[in-house]
Amino acid sequence: MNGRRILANCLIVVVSTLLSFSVAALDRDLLVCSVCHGADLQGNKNTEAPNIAVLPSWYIRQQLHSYQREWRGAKVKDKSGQEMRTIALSLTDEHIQNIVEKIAHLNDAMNKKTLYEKTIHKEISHKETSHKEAIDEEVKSLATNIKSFNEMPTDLLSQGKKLYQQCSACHGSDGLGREVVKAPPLVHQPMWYLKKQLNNYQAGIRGYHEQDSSGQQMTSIAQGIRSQDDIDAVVTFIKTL
Amino acid sequence: MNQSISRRSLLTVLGAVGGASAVYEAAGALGMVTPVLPPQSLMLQPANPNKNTVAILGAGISGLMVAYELERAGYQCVILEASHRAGGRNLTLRHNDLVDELGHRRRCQFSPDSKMYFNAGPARIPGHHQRVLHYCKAFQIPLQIRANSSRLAYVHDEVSSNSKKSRKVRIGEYIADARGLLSELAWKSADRVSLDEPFTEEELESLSGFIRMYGDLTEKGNYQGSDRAGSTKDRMLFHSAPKAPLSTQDLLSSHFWHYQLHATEIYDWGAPLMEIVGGMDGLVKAFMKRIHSPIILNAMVQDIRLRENGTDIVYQDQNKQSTLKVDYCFNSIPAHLITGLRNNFPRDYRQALGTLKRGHLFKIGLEMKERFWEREGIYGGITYTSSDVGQLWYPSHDIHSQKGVMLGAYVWGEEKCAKFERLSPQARLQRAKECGNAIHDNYAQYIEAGESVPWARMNHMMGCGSQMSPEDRKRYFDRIQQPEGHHFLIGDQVSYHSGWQEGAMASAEHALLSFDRQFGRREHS
Repeated sequence: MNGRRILANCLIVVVSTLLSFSVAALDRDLLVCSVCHGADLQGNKNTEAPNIAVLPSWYIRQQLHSYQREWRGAKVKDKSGQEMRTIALSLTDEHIQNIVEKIAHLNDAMNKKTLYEKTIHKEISHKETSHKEAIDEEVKSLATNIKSFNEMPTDLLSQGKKLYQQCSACHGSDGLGREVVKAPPLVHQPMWYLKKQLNNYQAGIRGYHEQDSSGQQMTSIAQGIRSQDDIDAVVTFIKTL
Repeated sequence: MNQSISRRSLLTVLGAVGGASAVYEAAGALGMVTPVLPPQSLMLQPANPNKNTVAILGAGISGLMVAYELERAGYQCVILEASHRAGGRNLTLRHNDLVDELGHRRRCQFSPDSKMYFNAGPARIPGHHQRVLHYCKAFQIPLQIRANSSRLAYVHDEVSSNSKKSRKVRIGEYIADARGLLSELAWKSADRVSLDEPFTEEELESLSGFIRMYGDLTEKGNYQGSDRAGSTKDRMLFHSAPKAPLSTQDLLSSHFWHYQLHATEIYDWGAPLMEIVGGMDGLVKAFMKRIHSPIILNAMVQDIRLRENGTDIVYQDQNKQSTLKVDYCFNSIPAHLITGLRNNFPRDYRQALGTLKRGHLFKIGLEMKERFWEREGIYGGITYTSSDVGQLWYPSHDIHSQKGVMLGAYVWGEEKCAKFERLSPQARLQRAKECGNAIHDNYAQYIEAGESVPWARMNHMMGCGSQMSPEDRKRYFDRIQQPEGHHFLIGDQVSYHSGWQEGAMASAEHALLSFDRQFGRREHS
């Protein structure tokens, strides 16, 4: 292996001098999360993994405990929840504390990097997807009648706005969530994920446990949303916040 | 053959009468079966010394093949592998090997005996997988026949519609009775169906002869059981006495009838198949021995940046982040994980990658303290069951030795795999024992150790046999097969044969040849 290593050194250059716009190094403890949640933990639709980089510490801790207690991911129909539950069960309290701290740290670093990224944006490849394009892709992935974000019917958005009023009581009018009422931030989550979770609440495969009070509360709210169109409307509206 | 009946329509008739195997037999006689191509060597043009660096992402079969071939053409390669080992899904588990399942990381419990191994990934090679066989031959990897079917193995139905009891029948018995039933039907209808004029008397007689022989019918066209399924008396000392045929209801109510009975008709599963002596990872070891390029293990790719004249790869190895700046990149990372990496791929390329979905496949290997199946006359082959474990495979190597590793479950598809994926490794073994006990007496008592491998839960892979809907395939397959700049996607995922090593090698070959056409150094350029 030594001969191999030497050759490798000819080609490898230390990152800081070259690709400062790229993703920051992940803490070792977070590498396992990155397999499904993506290299920067910002989610991956193909593994049905949400953005966890933006989640507040209290929420990550609460959800990992929910998985461990069979409050989440214990229903056969919740396939990705089951996958996450397996991981959660393998974690000790110490692990969880570690993960929570490291993600909080990553969160800070990312906020700084985003600012930095904007300043060097012109140096980044022209092929970077703009924010609008990204939303557009998400809208299409909902498989609704909506063709694109820009051509969104205004009545749909106003319906979404109307529906969001009851959400805003807990999640805030900015969609950033509130710890006091155990409501997580919504704005950074991909639309497919928000939609899936609303469906999960409705189907009784999330928020089903009587001791999971915030989950139960969310279930009753979700059951008040009457149609898939309404779900599309509200998750689309969340993207405009 | 009369002019007015096409070969195709004759095959349709035969298909209705004799099932798939009759069609295959006839098609062969008519010279319509695809020829098996001889193995080929890739003759890539020598690398341009000023532009010869390559990053290969993933040390599975496609990545190893690309590294081997490019190295021979003079390229400088670096292979990044996210997991702790090379080989990808070509995984042979032995004593104390790490089973890196997310949430259930553990060591293989098999005893330290070189014969106690379990091919958790690829396990069989048909004679027409010319690319795999080419490397086996070139690297002098010893192969042996792997019996993929045995007429003495069983068909097991948990509940048959009549008796409400489970039923176990030898495969040979089932096949004989199923063919008998079909032939009887064909014989009876042959009188009434006036076949088109083009058949001569002679040809019709030939067809009747085929029907009779196919089902082992009496001269009058009746099926009364067949000694093809064995005999109730010692066939050496007495006239054979066939068992009474299974009832039509029994045949029709079996899961085996419309699906697994035909498994060995599938081109990739037709006897004889082969396996690598000592474990399928012999192929990985042979590549590793010949590849001199650095293979960096535990290196997780985080960012792929296409440049006009190359690619930058950011990866992390424990706490250290590094960047490879290379001229070309061959990427075998599962597409469903690439979509979670940072990249600057154009939107349509990223969209195309997003259409490749995770596949599910599950296997359990069981170390058995006695080869009890051999006492039942089973030497290799597969028992098919309607229960959760799906199939039991018996080893055809090391016959008559004391112990053996058999496959205690072989399941694919999301729903069926989920039944095992959600369980702990111990609970999976428990389920395998319950299912096996219904088929073989004292099955569970023979088990000394067991390992389960749910590919959709294996770290850094999270899937096996990637799926693409027919519409997406039509629209996006060409897109992912073509390079994006200097970036080539490879692996079984970029083939019509995902889940097979031959698919992985075909994709690697396709990428290498198109790379060579596009970037290879021309003699006079």
